[in-house]
Amino acid sequence: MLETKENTTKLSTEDLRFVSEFFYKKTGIQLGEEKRYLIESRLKTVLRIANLNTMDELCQELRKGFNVQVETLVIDALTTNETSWFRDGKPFVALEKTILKKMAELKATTRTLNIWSAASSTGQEIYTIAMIIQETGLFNGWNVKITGTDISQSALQQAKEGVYSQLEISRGMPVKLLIKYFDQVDDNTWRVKPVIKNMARFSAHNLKSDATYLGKFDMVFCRNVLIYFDLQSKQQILGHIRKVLHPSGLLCLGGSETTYGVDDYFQPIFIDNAAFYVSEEGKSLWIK
Amino acid sequence: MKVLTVDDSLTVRTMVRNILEEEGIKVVEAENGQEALDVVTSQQDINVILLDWEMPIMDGFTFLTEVRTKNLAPSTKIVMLTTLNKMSNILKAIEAGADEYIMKPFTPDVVLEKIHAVAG
Repeated sequence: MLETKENTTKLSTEDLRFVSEFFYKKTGIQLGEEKRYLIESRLKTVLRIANLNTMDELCQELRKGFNVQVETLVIDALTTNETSWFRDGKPFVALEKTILKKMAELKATTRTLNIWSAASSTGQEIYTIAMIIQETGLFNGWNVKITGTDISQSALQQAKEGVYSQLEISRGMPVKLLIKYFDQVDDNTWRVKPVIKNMARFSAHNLKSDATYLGKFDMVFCRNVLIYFDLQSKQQILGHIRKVLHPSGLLCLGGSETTYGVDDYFQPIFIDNAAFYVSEEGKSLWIK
Repeated sequence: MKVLTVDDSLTVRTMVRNILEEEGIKVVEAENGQEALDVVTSQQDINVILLDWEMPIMDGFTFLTEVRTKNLAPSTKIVMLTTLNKMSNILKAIEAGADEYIMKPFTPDVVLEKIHAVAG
């Protein structure tokens, strides 16, 4: 049979089953055969990068079992990697350049700083914030607490342990911070150091539930979460956040999210080109 | 942007080229440190060097030391791209003047992210 562009980028039934089993063995994630289109479209990228002509060639490479680089490309292509260190960096730049300096002034009498990472997933956001706080050197001797919550127990467990694979640690982490704030456990495993870990505490939490038991916060990061909810649930979640955020406190949402038309309590402001949301009362503190 | 990939593996060089060219980045290649020295002394417009460690003729660390101590390419950023992934290797490379470090096996997003991070 003549090979056309069409059939070289299709998986045979046998290869599709092989790829699904390979991926399951490596990651524990089931990719059913009904995901054929998704698998094929993502593997096309691997063909292009690895200079392979057909899916058949790619599967042959995987079957050999020693081409770690191609295996990594396949796993990476089939995984939805949404978590990285310093993800969507603008809010972190604002945190480092402006917000923490202001917080250090505002909170100088109590010397406490409380931040909530409301969907902390596997902990990258919380430890990114912790590293930035540590790097400023403004909060030595303060009571700094960063609370991470998530609905997923397995994500919380990893966040609590602060242990990351080589691929997880690589994504977004500047090498100088890796050296400073992580210990190498073995060739493929890195663990966050106590100086950072000690700022963090974790709790299983559903964002649609009351959060007052978590305490009061100076900042809440709730990024890329609201997009998954309908209007009523968004209002419910922002209502719970409002109750635990100090009037001068800042809310940080994902780049494509807004409180506009959802909850008028929160007013958008821009700090170092990053959007944050604050109460009308707190606005004057943040706008020069 | 122009990137020099220094690696004795044609497979790695090809993968890196495919990743970078798709982003509109110009790529030049060298198979070892000695070849890379020739490239950096003749081409002044290289923004970033992706540098393997273990190579025949001249290894990546020797190249790095040579470039940094002789100040051959002061504005060029050097990113290690190597299977040597011990903390001791990372420290040694950074102390010798590397700007970033990518551990193999690599993923396309990490390669691009580190290049953009160092190139500013």
